[in-house]
Amino acid sequence: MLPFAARPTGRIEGTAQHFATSMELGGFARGLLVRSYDGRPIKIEGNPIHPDNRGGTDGLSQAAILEMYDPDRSRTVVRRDGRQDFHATWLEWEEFAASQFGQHRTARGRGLAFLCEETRSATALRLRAEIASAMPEARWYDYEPISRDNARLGAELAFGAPLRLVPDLTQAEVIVSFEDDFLGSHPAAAGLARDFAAGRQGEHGRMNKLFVAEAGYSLTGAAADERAPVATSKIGHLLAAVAAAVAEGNPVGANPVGANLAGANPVGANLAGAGSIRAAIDALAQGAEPHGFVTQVAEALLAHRGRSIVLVGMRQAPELHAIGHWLNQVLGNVGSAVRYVAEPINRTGSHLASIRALSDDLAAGGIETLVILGGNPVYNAPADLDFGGKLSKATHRIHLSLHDDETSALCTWHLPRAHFLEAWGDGEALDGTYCAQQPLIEPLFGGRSPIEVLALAAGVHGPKGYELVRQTFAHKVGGHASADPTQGGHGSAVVVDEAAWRGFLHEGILAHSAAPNVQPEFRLAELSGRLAGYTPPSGSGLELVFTNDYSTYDGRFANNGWLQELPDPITKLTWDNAATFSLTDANALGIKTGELASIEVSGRKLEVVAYILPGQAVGTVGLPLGYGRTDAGKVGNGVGFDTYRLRGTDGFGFATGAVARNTGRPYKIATTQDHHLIDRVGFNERQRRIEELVREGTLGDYQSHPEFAKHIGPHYEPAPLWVEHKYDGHRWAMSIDLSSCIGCGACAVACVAENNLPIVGKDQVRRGREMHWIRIDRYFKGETEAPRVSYQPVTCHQCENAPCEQVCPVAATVHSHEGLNDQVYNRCIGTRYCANNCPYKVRRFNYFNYQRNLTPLEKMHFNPEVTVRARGVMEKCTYCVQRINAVKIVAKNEQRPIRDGEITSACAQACPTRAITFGDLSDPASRVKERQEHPRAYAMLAELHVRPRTQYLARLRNVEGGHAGSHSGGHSESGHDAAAPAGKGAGHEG
Amino acid sequence: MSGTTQERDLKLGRTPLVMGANDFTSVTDKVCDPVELDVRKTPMAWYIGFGVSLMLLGLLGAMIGWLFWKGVGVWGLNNPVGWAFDITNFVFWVGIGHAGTLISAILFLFRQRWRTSINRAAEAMTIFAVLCAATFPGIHVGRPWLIWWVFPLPYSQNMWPNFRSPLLWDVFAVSTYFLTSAIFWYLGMVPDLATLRDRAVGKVRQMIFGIVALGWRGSHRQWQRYEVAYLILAAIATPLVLSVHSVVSFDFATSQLPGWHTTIFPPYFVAGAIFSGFAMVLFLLVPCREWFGLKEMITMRHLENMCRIMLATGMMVGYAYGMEFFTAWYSGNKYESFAFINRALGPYWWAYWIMVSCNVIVPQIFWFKWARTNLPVMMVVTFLINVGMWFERFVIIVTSLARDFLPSSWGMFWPTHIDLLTLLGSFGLFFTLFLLFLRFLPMVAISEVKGVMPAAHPHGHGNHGGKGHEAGSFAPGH
Repeated sequence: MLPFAARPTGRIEGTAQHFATSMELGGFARGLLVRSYDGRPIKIEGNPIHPDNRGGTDGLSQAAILEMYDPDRSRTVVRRDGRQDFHATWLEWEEFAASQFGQHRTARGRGLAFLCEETRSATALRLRAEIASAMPEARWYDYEPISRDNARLGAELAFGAPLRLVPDLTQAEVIVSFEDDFLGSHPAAAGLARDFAAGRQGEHGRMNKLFVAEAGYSLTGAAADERAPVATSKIGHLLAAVAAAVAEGNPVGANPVGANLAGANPVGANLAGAGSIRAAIDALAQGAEPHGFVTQVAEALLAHRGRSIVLVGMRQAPELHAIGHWLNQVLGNVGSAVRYVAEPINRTGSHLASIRALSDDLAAGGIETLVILGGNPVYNAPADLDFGGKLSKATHRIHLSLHDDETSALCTWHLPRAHFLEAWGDGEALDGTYCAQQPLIEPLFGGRSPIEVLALAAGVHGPKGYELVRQTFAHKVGGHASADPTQGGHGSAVVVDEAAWRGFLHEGILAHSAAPNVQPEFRLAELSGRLAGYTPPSGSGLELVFTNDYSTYDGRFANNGWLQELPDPITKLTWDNAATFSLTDANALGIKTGELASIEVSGRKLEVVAYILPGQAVGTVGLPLGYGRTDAGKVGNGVGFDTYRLRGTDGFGFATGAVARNTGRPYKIATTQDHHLIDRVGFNERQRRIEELVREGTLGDYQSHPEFAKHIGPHYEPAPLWVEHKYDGHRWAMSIDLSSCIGCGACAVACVAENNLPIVGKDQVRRGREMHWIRIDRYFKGETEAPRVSYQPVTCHQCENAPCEQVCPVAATVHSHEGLNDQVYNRCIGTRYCANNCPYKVRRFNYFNYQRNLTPLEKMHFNPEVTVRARGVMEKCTYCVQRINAVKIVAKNEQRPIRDGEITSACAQACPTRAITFGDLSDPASRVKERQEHPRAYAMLAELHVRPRTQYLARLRNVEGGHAGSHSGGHSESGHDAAAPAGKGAGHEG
Repeated sequence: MSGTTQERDLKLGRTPLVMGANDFTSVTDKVCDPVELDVRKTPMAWYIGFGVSLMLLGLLGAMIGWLFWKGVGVWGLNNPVGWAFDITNFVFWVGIGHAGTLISAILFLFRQRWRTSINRAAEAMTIFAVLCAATFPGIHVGRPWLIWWVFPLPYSQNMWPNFRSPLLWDVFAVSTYFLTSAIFWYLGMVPDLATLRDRAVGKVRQMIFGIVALGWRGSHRQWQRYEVAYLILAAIATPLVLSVHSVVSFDFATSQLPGWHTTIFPPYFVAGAIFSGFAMVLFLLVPCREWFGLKEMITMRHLENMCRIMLATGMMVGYAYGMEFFTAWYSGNKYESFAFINRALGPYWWAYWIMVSCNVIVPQIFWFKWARTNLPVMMVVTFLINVGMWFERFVIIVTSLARDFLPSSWGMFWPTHIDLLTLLGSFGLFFTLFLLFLRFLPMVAISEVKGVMPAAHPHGHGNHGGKGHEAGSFAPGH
């Protein structure tokens, strides 16, 4: 943080440096590339060579910058004796740890327990193994509230080994998701989304087709071609029905694929011959609905054998995952769209079982010292365990975490955790690639990483994270390195191939370290037995579906203002979670959007604000987790509702038999769209306009008439009244492919980070003053209970005839020679006329001095390349003009033209699906020019003759029939329209 | 144009413009006496009125202070609705400010002599209303300390304002209008100020009026120059009456927002402005003539004429409301059509129907003479017209902004307390100035009224100068 006394060689003050690192979330490492100015990390991008990211990111990783600079992070070690808190030092902790762990070591680990977050960090696993061998009686527990364990257990059930399914969507022409939100909640969502989107361009009539069955609306559901709203508990039936239909249509030897299967591996032969499993599946398939969906899916799968994939979601039972594996096997997808790698985690049982076991063991009193590495179990453990109550049974409770949170409050030691941007570590990508996690800055508050704490517990003093990771790396690269035997493998004198190590850090991944493919061996007999014994959960009443939140994940990001203010992709809700009800249920129960609903299940009760969501399966209630924190920090405390209070061990993924009623008490919610009650007049008009604004067609439309999008809406013949301005130099432009956009919001967070956008808070969002420069408009089309979602990201369109420019009395918004609509903050006096006259409504006004009260620490996250705007000025998307100019300077110094793709706006760079393309229209070979000349290209509101530089590519849907657009238009005309989310009885605000 | 005002009035069976047994002296006395009252004898009613107005003015100051301290966010504005009460109030007050100059200048050029007894008060009202109006663009900007950048001044930024912006045209139009109106008002007042000077008791009073009367002696030469100057100013002011509100309407008409972007706006706005201006004049004069004993000068005939003008302009406004719908439909532009359907049936339907009821339906009562001559009816109707005209601006501005092209960005505006109190406070500014005017300056143009009295035409022949030399020859004190 301090300036250098002497400038290191090659270092130029104020220029950006990039470092590859990774962020582990839910056990998988997301590969990141972090931009740093003068030792301050300020912007995160996806690592282009990381197998899961490939340059794209998600909002959660983008927002990690703000998390690191969070002033609410704990700053000191805290010792608590139940009555008083003492600020302690790391030295005191180390003394305590040495004696305490020493005692346990002599007792072979008796009385010592560890509760860890899911991790595949090789260093952490190595240290765990070392501790386990030194202290065999130490107990290990793992807990993640958002757990993908069922997938692992399903593989164990099917194959007898914990294999991991690695999808390759480039090979999939039919994708069927049984409530697997692989585009939104999967650890490798960024990469999966990219492959998914790449398969949807419709060129040469080829386009993948996505079927989704799910209860609530997820990002994956929004991207689906065919989506069936089905209760989570009924999805197993649907899956079984599809499996039965596929098996029916896939007799052995009757088709080449089956023959191949039988010939290629003995499993295939087994499969087809196994009658018992068929019987179990048939039994499970009883009562599957909707029927049409089953037929459609089965037909599609059968028609694309070997080129399809079946994915099963994390809330589904392991047995159903096993059916999914079986289906992929039967369809011959293994080896193409589906491959398996070995899972390094050799734990048996699920996270749920583990936390339950810990809870029981605590109650039994066998645990003297509990070390909780990360996580926040007091807040997010199943409610019926009363984890917080049982925690005190352990004499020494040690919690390592970023914040002095709910769990820390009940522990005897709180240890500040180093943020991943401050600490050494490692991790594993979905395909097993070994990833580096390197710090960009010394820990701001002197925190420590989990591996350092583990090392201490292993009795190893001295080595910091750096050496620990180097040791692991040395083991990984094997022959290239050897540890000094006198140091017992723990000393700092590890001999590492420096070039390999530097390459590893430079790339962020270890090349060719992906796990080898495993040829799975199906254990049909056991599976059949388990399936026969499996009864899907059922129950009367409502079904509560617990989902991870797109902003707070499991609640750990609750104190992150960027994420709190990022609208939910479906509800567009900020600063809250809401129970989503279907319109049918809401009408029956008297539930209204914006009013508190009282929900009760298994004797647990919670009041939570209701939101009527078109497309929510009837009989289900969506409950995003991760809100209602009490010790998150200034930003996150008291935001939303703690839905963990409803989540018990009996209903971890979903719970049946719930009751809901309306309390009638209003609760103010802040959405960025449909801010207020929408009346019939507005509603009808909106449905009419959507067809024209967000143009869509079917694959059939595109094939028969590639330029279909240009013929939706008014035909516009420009008849210039004057000689229009000619642009001789660069002509910056953007193209947004609506076929690729999945609406995830990574672009919005990237823009916030890049352009120093303020966090305005719930009250200001409610007043309609959110400041996002790029927003993702979400529209519902079609029928109420099964509407389709259309997304449209909207940035400043940089109109060539910009309506904002002519109306500014002081010429504060002017046109550049390159066609950018520049906003001159210094000159702006804030009449807001420009915003009034903007047809795209992308201009944002600083109604207050939003960034005024930031602490010096918070100010450190600002991008030094971008002005921080004060009160009273207008701002808007600049196409990241600072990035344009930075590259222009470099190109000019190197006396060369700017290469296409060299400049990317923050949104385009973050976009996991490459929906956004930025470039120069004057460059004849540029991608943006190619896309703006694409048959699907259209300009929104072109009839206003504003000549926007941002254009869209119409969305293609792989559905039968023509014109996805006019089809649903007909629906809305005939009154079957989707109820507005603020639909009937919406809370009238203001 | 033959014969005197009286002769014509007699011929047409009209009531005379000045009634009762008044001669020049009594007219002078009646106008000047309240102005010359000893401070200690100021009626309690004035103090009460002034006190209330001053409190409201203080409120305005406090609201503006809070606004400047915190930012424009203290109002209910948001992202689609960037203007609401601020510009509504601005246009409302500019509209009010139209009657004065219309009465002074246009009616003067058209030789409508009935204007004489009301023009002074109406002009004063104009100036104060324009002051109120000018406040709002000044305070509504995000950085009010830089508002001077809208003027074409040479300074270090070396930048001109943007001459393409209708807001800049506004700056010029309103400031020109204000200056012209103020000069016109002051010039017309000079002979009366001289009268006050001549009647003044006490040194201070004599000195003040001595200075502001600019050495007026009432000589023939002065009258001749004065008449010419007045005529020229009237000629300059006349197009301004039409241009100011046309330019104000350009703020909306030249934008591309559905509901704003219409060519009907300039005449529609001017008609509306005159409509509201007259309503305000009448609303103020009816009580004033009562309290100040000026019923013989501001007669029922004056009031009735003003009612007729309101009836006419009200129907013009009503026509515009209807025509807007027709144009929207006939244009085939669906954004335009929706803007109007949304006005009438959307979430702000109540504002729209308040506007239509107050501006179109209510004034129809003035078809009846009993209504035109009934003071309570006039008070109620003019009040409602002012309400309606405020809502007209609100409807145009807010409903159009709240729902423009992209439904994702639709929003709603709801005023905050600060919005409401600022509007209330602006009436404080207006009435404070107006009450000061009533107390210290002649509210009726003495010299002009004398010109329309029979005594001004002792020889029975006409004089197109009207009032001029008669008033001069019967200089105060005679």
